Amino acid sequence: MSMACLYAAAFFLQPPLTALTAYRGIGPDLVLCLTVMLVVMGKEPGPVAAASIATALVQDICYSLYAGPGGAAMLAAVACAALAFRLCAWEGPWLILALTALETMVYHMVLWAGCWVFGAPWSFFHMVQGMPIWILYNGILCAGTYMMLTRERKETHTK
Amino acid sequence: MRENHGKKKIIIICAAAAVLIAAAVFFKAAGSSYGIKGTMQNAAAMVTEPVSQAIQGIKDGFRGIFRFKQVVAENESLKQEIQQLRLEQSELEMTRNEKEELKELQSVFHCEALAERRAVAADVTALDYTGQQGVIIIDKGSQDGVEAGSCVVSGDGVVGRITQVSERSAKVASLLAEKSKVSFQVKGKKKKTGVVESDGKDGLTGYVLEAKGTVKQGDELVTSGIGTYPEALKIGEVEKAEKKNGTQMLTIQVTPAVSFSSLKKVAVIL
Repeated sequence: MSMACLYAAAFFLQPPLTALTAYRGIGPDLVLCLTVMLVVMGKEPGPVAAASIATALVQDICYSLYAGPGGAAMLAAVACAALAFRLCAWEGPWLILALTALETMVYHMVLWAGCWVFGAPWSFFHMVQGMPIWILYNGILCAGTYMMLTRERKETHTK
Repeated sequence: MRENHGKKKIIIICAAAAVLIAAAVFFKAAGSSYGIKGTMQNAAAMVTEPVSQAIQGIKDGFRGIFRFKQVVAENESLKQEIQQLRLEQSELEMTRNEKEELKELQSVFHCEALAERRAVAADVTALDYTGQQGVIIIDKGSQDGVEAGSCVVSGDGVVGRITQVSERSAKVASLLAEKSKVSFQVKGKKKKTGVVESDGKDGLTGYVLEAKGTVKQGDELVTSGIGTYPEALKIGEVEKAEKKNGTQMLTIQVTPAVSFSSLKKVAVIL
């Protein structure tokens, strides 16, 4: 239930956040960052995948020209995150940044491919040009969230 | 045990892929959105609009501390006035004789040039955050008379066209978002016509129809009235014009007049 609330909040806050913070039309992706953080926090990947894919699909229906590529991109991102988290011990804000960068690249490449199949005119080079900005935005969001969560954990632990 | 776990994961992934494919096929239809899709869009619009307005209000409030709220309010009303004046100006530029010529051309090109332009003002409630789709969501829908295929403009020029409509909102595909071509003419030189389309980045590319057409850098392009868009709406400015080797075709690169990532208010031409 709480996961559903988090994803619902991410879904409704995405448009105003983009309006406030976007640079050249590129803004942070709340749903993707939330997915990365839930995987890092050790949540079962199955429910996280289901919630994130459902949210991405609803985002596609409500805010995109094509329904489907967002969900497929989120599926790829979740699978990548679960695999990376299983293979490596992802601790510390720098490693979180690396994971976020990886997830952002996987997500946007799959999204671009899906939109391209549906007939979008955007070139691969255009997508790659925006990648540093996406990684920067998502990285700041994820690292900041991770640091807040670890601080809360330490305070709870010392008590 | 491990094998069952692995099989379960494979089943989940296949089920997710099947759901995605089904959703893509089911929701792919363009045009009016009714049924489940329309309900979802309406529900999203009902929450997104007040949240966007609240955030915009907070943003304007902070801005007002430094720039005074009265100045901001005056600025907004002046922007609306400028938008209306620019629309009237483009109509006035067409003389009566030109209107008569267009009416004769209408039967030849089967274009639906508007005798009277009715426009509905709309606020932009959501922009494409992925930077890969060029979609704009506005707060006007079928209950306001908006239809799929309607042209959308801002004070700076053509924004795009409506692709999907629900009762309370509509999706606008910007000029950069689709591969569809837009017919143009050079402002002030009606015989110099051509076609532009998205170049896959942040601009438009196209060609001039006449082999001897002299379109140069800095020329302003407006819609010719052929196709979806009414005549005399600004498209952009020619950034580069060059002839391809071995051909007489003049290809152009165009910078769009509208900054799609910073739109706040638009008008839908009905």
